[in-house]
Amino acid sequence: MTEAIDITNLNYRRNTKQILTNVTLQLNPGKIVGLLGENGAGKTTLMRLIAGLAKGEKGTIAVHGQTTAATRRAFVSFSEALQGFRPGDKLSQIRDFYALAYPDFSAKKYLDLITFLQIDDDQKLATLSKGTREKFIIALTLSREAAVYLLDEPFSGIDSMSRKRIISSIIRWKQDSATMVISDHYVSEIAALLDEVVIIKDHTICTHKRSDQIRREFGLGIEAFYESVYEGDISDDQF
Amino acid sequence: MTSFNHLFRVMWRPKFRSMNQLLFFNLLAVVVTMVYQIWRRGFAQLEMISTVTIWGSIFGFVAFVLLARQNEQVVISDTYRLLPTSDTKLYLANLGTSLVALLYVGVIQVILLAVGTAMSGNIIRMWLQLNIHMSAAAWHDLAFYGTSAVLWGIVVALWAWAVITLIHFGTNTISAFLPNVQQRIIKVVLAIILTGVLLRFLTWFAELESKLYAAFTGIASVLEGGVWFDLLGLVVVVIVVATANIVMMHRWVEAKY
Amino acid sequence: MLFDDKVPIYYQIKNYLYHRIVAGDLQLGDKLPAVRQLAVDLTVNVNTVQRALREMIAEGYIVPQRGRGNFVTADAAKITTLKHELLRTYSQAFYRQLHALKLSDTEILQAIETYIEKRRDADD
Repeated sequence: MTEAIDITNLNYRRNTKQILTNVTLQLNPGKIVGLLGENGAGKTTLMRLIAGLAKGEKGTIAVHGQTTAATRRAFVSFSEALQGFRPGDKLSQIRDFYALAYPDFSAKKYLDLITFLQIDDDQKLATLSKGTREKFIIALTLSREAAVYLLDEPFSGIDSMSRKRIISSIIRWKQDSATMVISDHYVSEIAALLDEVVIIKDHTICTHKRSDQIRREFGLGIEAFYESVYEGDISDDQF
Repeated sequence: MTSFNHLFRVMWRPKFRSMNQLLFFNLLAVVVTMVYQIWRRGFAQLEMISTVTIWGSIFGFVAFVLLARQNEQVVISDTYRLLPTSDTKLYLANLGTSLVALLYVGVIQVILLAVGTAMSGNIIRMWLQLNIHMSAAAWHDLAFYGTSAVLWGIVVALWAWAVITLIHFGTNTISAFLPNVQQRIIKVVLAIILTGVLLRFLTWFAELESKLYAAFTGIASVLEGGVWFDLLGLVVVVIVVATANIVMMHRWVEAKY
Repeated sequence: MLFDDKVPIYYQIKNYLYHRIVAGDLQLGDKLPAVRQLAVDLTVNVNTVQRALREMIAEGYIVPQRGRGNFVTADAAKITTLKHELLRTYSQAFYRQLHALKLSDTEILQAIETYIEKRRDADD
């Protein structure tokens, strides 16, 4: 079975700073994985490297067996911030862009998602609240039938009702075989959702464990585990 | 993977929309000028050729600048860089759609000119009546100047866009290897230096080209051949610069976020 | 449903379903909601629900029927065992806690009787 994501010895520098060091990571199809770490730890960079947005890395990144940035992108649905669109663009125009640009875009899934997330796509992009904008980004991202979904901090700065709806739509619409990586530094709301947890600290992946393993071996919740990793309560040799 | 056809269409739409917005103002300017002329001199004396031409060149230039800006925004935005396609296709579709958008603005000017002439073009009608019996050589000249002017326009636009991207990408690429302090100032300085270097290179290339041409023909003054040779030279420059852009885009230039 | 983040989620899902079966919310032979529906209702991962159901099937409390879904066992004896099992687990936990307070068995029994009587009075 091909891994959904297979990263070997990934190193990435920019502006003479080391951002990721020796990252090696394998994720299986069908898993929901929490990518946790402080701001600036390298979560976003790792996602952007997987999606082929960050350049000049050393090492290999394979998604669904594809190693070049262009072919990887066909299998990756990344929650992008919609900066390529103009504030006056209607949401339905953005949908048209996606439908035309991505062969795996499902119009039906899109319709189901915006209905469930209560988004009126006759609105203009500039009029959306932060919560609605984030929900719309999730709707677009999940409307693609991709092998890998990368959600970069989908819950930051949005109200709890929107957050619940987003979580619910992930459960409803993620295909069984698709892998989903959710980055966050606030864990408690998504803890029950995660199959696995990957923690980035000091420019590298310091641990990658199954959620059940964390709960059973350490007797800790995901959030408590994450905090103790960061505070150094759990030493490296315990992983 | 996204096909080139679909890529072209998604990149065309926003450019088409902004060109239409621009053309709306263009038309408005032409109409206002026309109304003003009628009010000042009466309908009989109305002359639309200069009105359309002057506004056309102003709005044509604005279109060129707007498209240059859109080109640069597209190549560093996540929205486009995430598309499942090669960097070469993305770059070429971007340049191609801008060119078609510019040609579209040009075609509209021609149509405006034809409408303006039909309405009131006394001068041009007189000129056409006088010249309808032009000699074959004169027709040939007209065709030659016409085609070469359009071709030169296209190649110069492509050249300018490619060079703007080259400076943009060059600045981005080099600054990514420098420490993350005062990046904004570093980028401005880099852009100025790169522009200088590029100008020197282009002057050198132009000289080289004229020498080559002289060496090949012995006489550098045969007009038609000279025009095509210069055009070919510029096409080569465009291809080289575009290739450099694609390489930088592929290896170093990231989307901004 | 709120989960205790320190305990494996699949284990808590199992317990939740056992409770519903013993309490009679899910009757003998009843069809369980679809896996994805359960996941949505409980706000958990589909994989986690699947793991919980897999274990319950292995234990014989749930019977899968091809193409039709999962059903509560029709075997009443099985449910009785489950009830005793739960009763034993809770009694044990309860007993241990009180025993840790150095109460004697008689005191524990007395405490329970008093409590039940008080509750009955309050309900009337």
